[in-house]
This record gives sequence, C-alpha cells and structure tokens, in this order.
Amino acid sequence: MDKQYLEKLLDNMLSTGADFAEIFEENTISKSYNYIDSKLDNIRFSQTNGIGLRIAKNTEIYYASINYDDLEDVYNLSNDLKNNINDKVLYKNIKLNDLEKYKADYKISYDDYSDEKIKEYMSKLDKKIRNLDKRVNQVSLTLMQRDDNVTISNYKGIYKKEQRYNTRFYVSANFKDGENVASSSFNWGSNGGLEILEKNIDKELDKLIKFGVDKLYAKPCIGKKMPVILGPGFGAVIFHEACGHAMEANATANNQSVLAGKIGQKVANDKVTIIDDGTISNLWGTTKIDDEGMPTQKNVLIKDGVLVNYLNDEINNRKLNMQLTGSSRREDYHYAPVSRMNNTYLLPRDDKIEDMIKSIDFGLYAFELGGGSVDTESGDFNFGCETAYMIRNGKIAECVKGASLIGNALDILNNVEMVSDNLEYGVGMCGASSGWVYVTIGEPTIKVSSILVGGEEDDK
Amino acid sequence: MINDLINIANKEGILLEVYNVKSKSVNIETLNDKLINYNISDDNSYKIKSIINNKTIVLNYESLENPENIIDTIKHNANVIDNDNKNSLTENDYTMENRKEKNDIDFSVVKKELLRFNDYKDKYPFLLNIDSSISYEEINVSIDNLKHHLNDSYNYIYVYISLSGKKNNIVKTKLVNEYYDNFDIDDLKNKIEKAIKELELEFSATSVFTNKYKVLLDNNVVKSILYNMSNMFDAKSMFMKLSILSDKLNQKIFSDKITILEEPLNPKFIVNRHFDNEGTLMYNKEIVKNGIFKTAFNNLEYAYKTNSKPTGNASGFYNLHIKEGNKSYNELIKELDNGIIITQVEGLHAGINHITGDISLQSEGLLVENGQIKKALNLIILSTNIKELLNNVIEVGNDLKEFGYSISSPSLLVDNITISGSGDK
Repeated sequence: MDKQYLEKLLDNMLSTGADFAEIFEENTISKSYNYIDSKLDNIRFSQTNGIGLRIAKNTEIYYASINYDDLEDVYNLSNDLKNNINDKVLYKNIKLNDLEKYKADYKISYDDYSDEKIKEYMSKLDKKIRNLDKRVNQVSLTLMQRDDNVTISNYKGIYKKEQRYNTRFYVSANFKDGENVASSSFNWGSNGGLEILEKNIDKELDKLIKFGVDKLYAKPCIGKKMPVILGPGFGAVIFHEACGHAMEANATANNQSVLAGKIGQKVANDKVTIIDDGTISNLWGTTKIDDEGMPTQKNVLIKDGVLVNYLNDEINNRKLNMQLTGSSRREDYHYAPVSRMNNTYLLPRDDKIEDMIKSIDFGLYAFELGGGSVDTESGDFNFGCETAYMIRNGKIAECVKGASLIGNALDILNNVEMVSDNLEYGVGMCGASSGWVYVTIGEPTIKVSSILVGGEEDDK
Repeated sequence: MINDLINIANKEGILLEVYNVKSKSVNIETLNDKLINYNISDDNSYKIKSIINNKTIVLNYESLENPENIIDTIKHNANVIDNDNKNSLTENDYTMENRKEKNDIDFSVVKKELLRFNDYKDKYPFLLNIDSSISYEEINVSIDNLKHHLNDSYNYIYVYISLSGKKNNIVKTKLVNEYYDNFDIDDLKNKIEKAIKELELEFSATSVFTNKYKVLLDNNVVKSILYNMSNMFDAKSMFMKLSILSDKLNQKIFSDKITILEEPLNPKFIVNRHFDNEGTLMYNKEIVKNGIFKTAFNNLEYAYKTNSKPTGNASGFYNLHIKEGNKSYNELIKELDNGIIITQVEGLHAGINHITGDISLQSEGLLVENGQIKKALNLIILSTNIKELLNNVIEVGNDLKEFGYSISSPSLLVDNITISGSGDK
C-alpha cells in the first residue's frame, strides 16, 4: 500500500470523529522443519499478508482485519469501521512522515542455509541424542523460523517499517523402560537468524538425558505447602504469570489487576527488582519498535520491592496518564494490540544456591517449569513443573512427577527469600487478548519460602 | 484463482488440491458500562496439498496471486523431505444441503444487552467488574481438485463473561462460557445469576488437606481435561509413540462406564461438519466403547500407515463427547455424599502431560457433606492421571453440555482421586 493511499485511508477512518487511527500492514513467511522418527517429516510453510485497521474514540476501540487481493475491500471495511462513530471530525488531511525502516538483527539469514544443510544438522543431532542413552525411544526436533515484516502508520504521522526475525529450535526426547515412560525437552531461540544453530548445546543435552532418565523412575510428588527453589531461566515464568500480567495496562487501567493503584507501594520482598526490556540485542522477545510504532525501551517495574511502573499502550494509557513504555504488541494483523511483556527478568543478587538447599528440611527443587496462567484480578496463579526433585534434610532427594505450584501473586512476591547470581533467560510464547507473542523470561535461581505444591498425600 | 493454480500444477505433472476457508466474524467486548472493543474480521486462507514424486507437500497461503512461486516451493520441498507420505487427492464430492439459516443478529441490540449486565452491580454490590464478550463466526469451506468439489458452511455464537467480586479485600473471579445456535439472552442471564451466586460463595473458600477423595467433576472440567488429552487418540501420536495409548487399540483402557463418541453429523449439536480438510467424508463413530479403545483419529497419511479406514479427522474432531449417563447433576451430588465437587480448573497448558497422562491442575470446588454442599474450596490441586481418572468413574451424568463445535461433556462422578491442599487434617 503506498503512502498516498495510506493517508487517504487514514483520512477516511477519521472522517466520523475518531480520535485515533492506525493501519498495521503485515507480510510474514514462516517455515517450520519437523524431524521425527529419524526423518525430516515435513517442512510447514505459511505465508500471510493482511492488514489491521484500528480507530478509537476516547477508550472505545474499533478494529477490523482482512487479508485482501483488492484494495477496495480494505476501503469498504474502513467504512464499516468508521460507521460506529458519529462525532465532530478532529483530524483530517493526515500527512505521514518519511518511512523509517528497521532491519532484522541477524548474522545468518534464512537464505544463507539451504534446507539440505538444516536437514543435515537435524540428522546429526538426532543420532547424537539416540546414542546418549539406550532408553531414548523417540526424538523430535523442530526448527521454527519467521520473517515478519510490519508497517505501522497512524494519525500522528508515524510511518515505520520493521523486519523481525524470530528463530527457535526445540529438542524433545522420549524415554521408555518397560511400562515407564517420560519425556524431556529444551529449546532456545532468538530475535535473530540461523546463527542459533551454531550454539554449543552439549551441556543442555547432558541435562536432557539426566532429567529424562530421572523422570522415568520419578516418584509421586508430595502435595502441601513447602519452601521451593526455582531453577534459573524459565523458572521466571512465576514472575511473568504472578505479576507481569498484573502490570499490563489493559489490566491496571481497567482496575482488573491485583496491582492496580499500587504504584509507589511496597508489593514485594526487598530482593525483588523486576525489569521488562524490549531492547536487549537478539533476545527472543526483542523488537525495535512496538506495534504502535513506539521505540521499545528498558522499563523497571518493581525496584527493591516497590512497584514503580506499568507496561502501557496508547489507548489504555488514556485512563492511566503515564509515560508510554513501548509495550504495545499483537500476534499478527488479526489482533488489536495491547500492552504486553517483551523480555522480563528478575535482577540477580548474591545468595548461594548451596545455602538455599541447605536451608530446607523438606521442600521442592523445581529445576524446570512448564507454562502457567494467572487471574490478574485476584492474583491467583498456577504453573506446572517439568522437572522437580524433593529436598530432604538439606539435600536434593528423589525426582518427582506431577508437581504443580499454585499461589497468589502478592504472597509470592513477598515470599522470595533468597536470590542467586546466575541470571539465565528462557524463551516462551505468551497468550493474551492480542494473541500469542514471543517473550523472554529470565531469573537467577531463587528460593521462595512457601508455595502450595500439588501432589500425593503427605509423606509418611 | 484456485482453478488457475490447479491447472498450472497439472501441466507440471503435480496433483494439487486446494482447501479454502473463508471466515467472517464480529466480536464485541464490554467492561461494565463501557464498550472496550468492537472487532470485525474477514479472512481467506488456502491450504494447498500437492503430490509430486510420491511425496505430499502441504503449504498455507492467504493469497494465490503468485501461482508460479507456489509451484516452485512445492518442487523444492519435495526434494528435501524424507517422509514417504503415501497420500491421495479426494475422490469425494459434497454440496451442503439444508443449509442452516444464518443467524440474524442485530449487534447494536446485543451491545446494549451486554452493557446492561452492569446493572447486576446494583443487585449484587460485591461485584467489581463484568467483562463480557460475544463473538459471531460464519465459516465457508471448500475443496477443489481437477475432478472434485466439496463445500460446507456453518456458524455459531460464543459468549465469554468474566465476573469479579471483592469482599474484605479478597478478589474472586468466575467465568461464564456459553455457545449458542441462536443467541438466547434469557438463558445467558440465568447462567450469569448462577455464576454470581457461586462467586459469592468463594469469598469464604478454604482449602482441604491432601488426601484421596470421592470427586464430582463438573462438565466444564471434564471437557477441559478431555480436550487437552485428546491427542492420545490421534493415530500419528500413537504411531510416533507420543501417546499413552500407543499399542492399546482394542484394549480395555477406561472404566466400563466410559463410551466416547465423535458425532460430527448428529443434528442435536450446534455445528455439523461433513468433510475434513482432505475431503474425507466425516461419520459418527465410537472412539471408546464401554472402556475399550475402538478407533484412533487419523488423516489419510496415517490411515495408509496404520492400514486403517480414513476417519475424516485431518482437521481435528467435531462434537467429541463422553456418552451421557442417566443421573442428573443433583442426583450425582447426592451420590457423592461426602466428597468434593471440582467446578473449575486452571492452567491446562501446563498442568497436563500429554505423554505420561499426568494431571496436576489448580482447581476450585465445593465441599459436600451428607449430600449437601457445605462450603467453597480454593487453592486445591487435582492430582491424578488420565487413566486413573477415567478408570475410577462411578457414574456419568446426563448433563451433556456443548462447549464449542469440537467438544461437549457431561459431569463425572469419580472415586479415589488425590486432591492436594494446604488445609490441616
């Protein structure tokens, strides 16, 4: 869509009195290579190209999305949209700025590696994993790559285009010994290109096998309230779920968050400083601009236990009247954007992991967590443990299965007792009203003094 | 454009078929007395299946403007992948007959109705927020290859309401999910009133001590678990040893009380589907009969690989449900006598392990003593395994409820299930 047409379309969208208008154009090519059963099973390919039109009046949002072959269909859709508003015209004759372009940050582009080379990488890795332990009975490898090109233009004259590369590799192995089955997996990803295939993953493979084999013989988890150590990296899903979502403006601006109205208040233990930063080079959740065209930035959300900021988007911020944080995100053109996290992490401190373990008579060490979810209004959250061990008398004991952790955001923030110095990042997909977006979550190993753990009846 | 692509492929010696989905939707979301979002969408997508050198290549596009690029991608992918995916184009034809009348909805009226829900706050002052959303979707699907054509269409309405309340500084939330053929505002209001009363109970909720309990799982809970474990019935998962039911076909896997049906053609459900995205005609079938695993879902590839009849499940399943029993929900509570009703589960994407079948889900519930509901429970965890859960079923309720076009469920009374909690013995 050329600049002149975009201006004409914005004028039409604003012609019934809207006080906000935005056009989001998107072209994406995604490829996903799945290697399973020691074969390249398929290459999934998809190409999307569509447009999202958004207008607003005060805090009411009207959104339309379409994939089109004919520009007239888009114009007709903008008419359907604007007919929802009938007021004095506030903006007309929109003039867009010169186009600002942002290129994806990769070292190896998707065109630099042939499909044959990718297949060879997967084939070698498959053999290597199968040779590591005879109980491995299936290996599944997936390389996902997405070349996303978005153009944002709006009523203020913003006219920006960003190319976003997102590349992720999943490794999953299944283990079988008699009737016992278990699975173990890890993945890594980046807001970059195929250079992720050059990462040395030997340590991760050792863990994959150790955890998979331990899980084969795992005992039922003991269920009750207990102290819990959370491993580094993806363990931070606890902060993502328990308080990250509660700091997003679509929850805070509408009084639908347990943290609404608490700016300046002490909400966590002194050791808790939480940052969301969309600018960190090549992290999975990084973008140069958000989906409203604002540059992303480093946002300190909780500092030494005090809530200092929320993540904002333009429309929700009309209620909050704070500074925009460059956090407006959406899965794709089908969704109106809302404030979302990018790369959220807990700042490291200097507690020692050995001291954490020693301090617990009976508790849980969750090395790897699965996903989770939170009710932002009540603060109640839950998440599942992928790999966990009981701690008995200050020592790591048996591997346990079926552990999940539940609690309330405010309790957990206050119960973070020890924080180590080994900050690591994990990659994930975060789902909310504007769809699934790429997020990084990071933390060092931490000890939480008490969490309710799901499992079997009390230890005898 | 579809025919152009098919013809170009044909000239290149490629068998090609296009599955086209056209969907239109309207969604309105209100928060209390304010409109938050009004969304409309108009989508068109193409799944292109092609067979070249005995390999099957599937690509997804939103536009067929560059057929030459599509053909090049097909040829390239066929050279790289190893999968000897034996497959074929559809030889079926189908034309939708007796088309259901399109729902006629006046969205300006619906919007006013949603905004009026704010009045519940006058009647129930503890209510904090009423977040309501209604979606209408209208979908047309077609399949074309050189010789055959199929088309089908369906539509439905989905309502999602999140209620929150606050008492003594404690905030609780409750969800209402309803799925309609025709929007029924009176039915919806009844459901909201019921949910508000359950919400009020939750302010005094406590936990229980970790133990084995007799448990009544609400139909929405059974639905969530079955939906999230459904790939255990998938032929590909079984073939790849990724299902707990690999090698279990025709064996007893669950209690005699459990019969699981897939009924895409049964007119009692809101949406009927007639063919999958490979053009296989759908039919009603028993997945599990009296506890015995009878049919795995497959697509053409895995029908060939497992030497089975194609089941028409290349695009998922429709109207999957546990067959209803005879007892009403209230009769099940009486039979529960002393135990726990699980009314809601959270965190399904994390709390269910598809490979081992382990289930560990944050739950809300009600404590029942002597057949009477005594109090609400929260911060409890349902800890079990899908095999244990469906083997320990004592009774199946007659309260089959539709939760969407893919799945429905009745409530289940189950014995001897671990509930973890933070309460004292």
